[in-house]
Amino acid sequence: MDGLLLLSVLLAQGLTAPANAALEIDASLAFGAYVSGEGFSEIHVRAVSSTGGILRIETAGAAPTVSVDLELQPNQPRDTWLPVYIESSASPLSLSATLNQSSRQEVALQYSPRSLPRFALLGPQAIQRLSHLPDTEAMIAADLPHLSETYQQISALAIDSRAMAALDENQLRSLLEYVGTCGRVLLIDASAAIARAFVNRAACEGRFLGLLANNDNAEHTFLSLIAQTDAPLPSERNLAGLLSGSSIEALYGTRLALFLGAYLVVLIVLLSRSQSRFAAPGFSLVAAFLVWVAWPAATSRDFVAWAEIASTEQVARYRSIERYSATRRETVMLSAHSFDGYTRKISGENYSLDWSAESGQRRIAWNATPFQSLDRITHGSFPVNTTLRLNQDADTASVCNTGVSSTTPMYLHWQGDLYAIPPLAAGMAWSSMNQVPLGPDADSRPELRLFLARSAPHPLTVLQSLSIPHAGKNEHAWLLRYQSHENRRTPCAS
Amino acid sequence: MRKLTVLPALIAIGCLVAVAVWWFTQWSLLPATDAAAAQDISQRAMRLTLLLQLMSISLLAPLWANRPSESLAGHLTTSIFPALFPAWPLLTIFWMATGVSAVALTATEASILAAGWVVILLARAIRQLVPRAEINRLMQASLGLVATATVWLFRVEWLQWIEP
Repeated sequence: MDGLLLLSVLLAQGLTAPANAALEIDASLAFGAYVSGEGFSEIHVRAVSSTGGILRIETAGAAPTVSVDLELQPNQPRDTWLPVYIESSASPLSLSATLNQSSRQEVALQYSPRSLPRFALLGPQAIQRLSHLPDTEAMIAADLPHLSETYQQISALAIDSRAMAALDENQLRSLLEYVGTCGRVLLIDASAAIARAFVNRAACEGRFLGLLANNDNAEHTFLSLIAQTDAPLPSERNLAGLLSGSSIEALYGTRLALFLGAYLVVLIVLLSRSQSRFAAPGFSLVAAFLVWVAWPAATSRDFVAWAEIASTEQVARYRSIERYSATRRETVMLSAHSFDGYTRKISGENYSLDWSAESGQRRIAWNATPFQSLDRITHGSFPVNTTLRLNQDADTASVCNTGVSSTTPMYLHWQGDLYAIPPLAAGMAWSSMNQVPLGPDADSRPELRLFLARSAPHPLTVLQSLSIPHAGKNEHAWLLRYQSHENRRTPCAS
Repeated sequence: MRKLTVLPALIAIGCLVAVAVWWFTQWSLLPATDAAAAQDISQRAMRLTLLLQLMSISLLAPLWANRPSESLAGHLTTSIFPALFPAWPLLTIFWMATGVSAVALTATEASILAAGWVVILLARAIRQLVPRAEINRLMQASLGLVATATVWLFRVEWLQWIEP
């Protein structure tokens, strides 16, 4: 274990490119340079230059390419953290840094494959009390990522108050986002303020967050934390089924077939009837030109987010799928949107990540061609007001709106029946008594089919459509609220 | 004269229909998210269309040479050209789908045109060298078969520069 600790610390020191007169680059991978298969990791780059200027950094060897521009002041070190998507643990990874478009350096990054489960220990208390457990790795605060995507590389984390104090603002924010997606975190001897911040942010009813006082049994708490089972959100495939846009084939297949059929008929008629030898070639040329001109211009975007929350929680976790379908050859810059959690996966080809070091905004630059699509799968969490109360007794289920604004239309699933609930004004309630459930064909809509499937483990569930600011017609978000088994009766009045 | 103009066009249309049907069948069977495979199908369909164009021209060009009244330039417009133009809209679709350079595609079409012209020249030379009609026809048919077989043998080398 000591050897492993030493190795982790050595790897965390990173690799320094040979210094030249103008530029010095340090680069290291998060989590002690271990990478667990395909997924996002993160490179910490520290650059210092005696002359200053604009530094262009690009990754190579991992897909997609990530590029960033940094403004360097003379002799002032500058840090940046780059997301890097590693396709397999065999891919070589390197950085190229170009200062003022002239001085160029290459930095090769070493990393080691390590399969999950993998438990990170930070701080002397965490290491001392848990390092004897299998699959644990001692790390230092600098190993923790600044980008929440990077938490794909571990299964759980135990951190004590000393290590927590050493985290910077972005590391803390990323760790909170990890907790918001039901990441397993054990806080040892955390201050009241830190504990409160984590409890308020934790999703999955806080089952994946452990709070440990100094004298508690750390091993027992940690083992019970990692033994908690996750109720995964709908799969990528299920979410794709909710996308409202027609598939590329459905959209263009029919049109293309009709166009080519009509073209062939006219061409044969021209060849057999027309006296001019230029009529048929001219028509063919015009048809080819029409294909080029009349092809749809814009790349379409479909988006679906599915969120779930227990009635006793304040944080909903979600998974979303964003599908871009290309209709013509063009370079599209895809920006983040309101549901921007951490990107879990990007499926597609010919794209790169364009990273702004100044604003932290990341964009996907996609060289699109027709019939191609690019999917972005995102996980995240967001706060939800608890003004909607779900109640049930032996023969009635009810929903009351204790908030100050109207709700959106909802669906309720209770005792095997599905009900449609109209928008509820502030202070209004709805009861299943004397209400007629929807018929058996109600589940023809894909979101209701998924709702019924997801409702099975819960006694009472409600599905709400969420409003997305500036949403297009093919953008939808759904929130499923379920009543916990532990809390079947809550008063309607707040 | 008119029939000879229509024949290559009809053969080209037949090839075009075959490629289009095959492409639609393959493409519609692909899952929507399999973008890479869709790209590959379009790429293969483009190569197949170009290959069929060149093979049909290689096979038929020696026969077109038996029109002594036709000038060499006339052969281009009445024989070779009609074998090419029906596929242009389909090639435009493939071009948009694959990202192949427009210059490379145009150059390939031009190379087919030039190849057909060369085969016609060879067939005319055979006709002048061998006056007997039966032997002449046989040699021209052999020339067509050899040219087609050569195209088939070197199809990979010929089409390798059609890359997105």
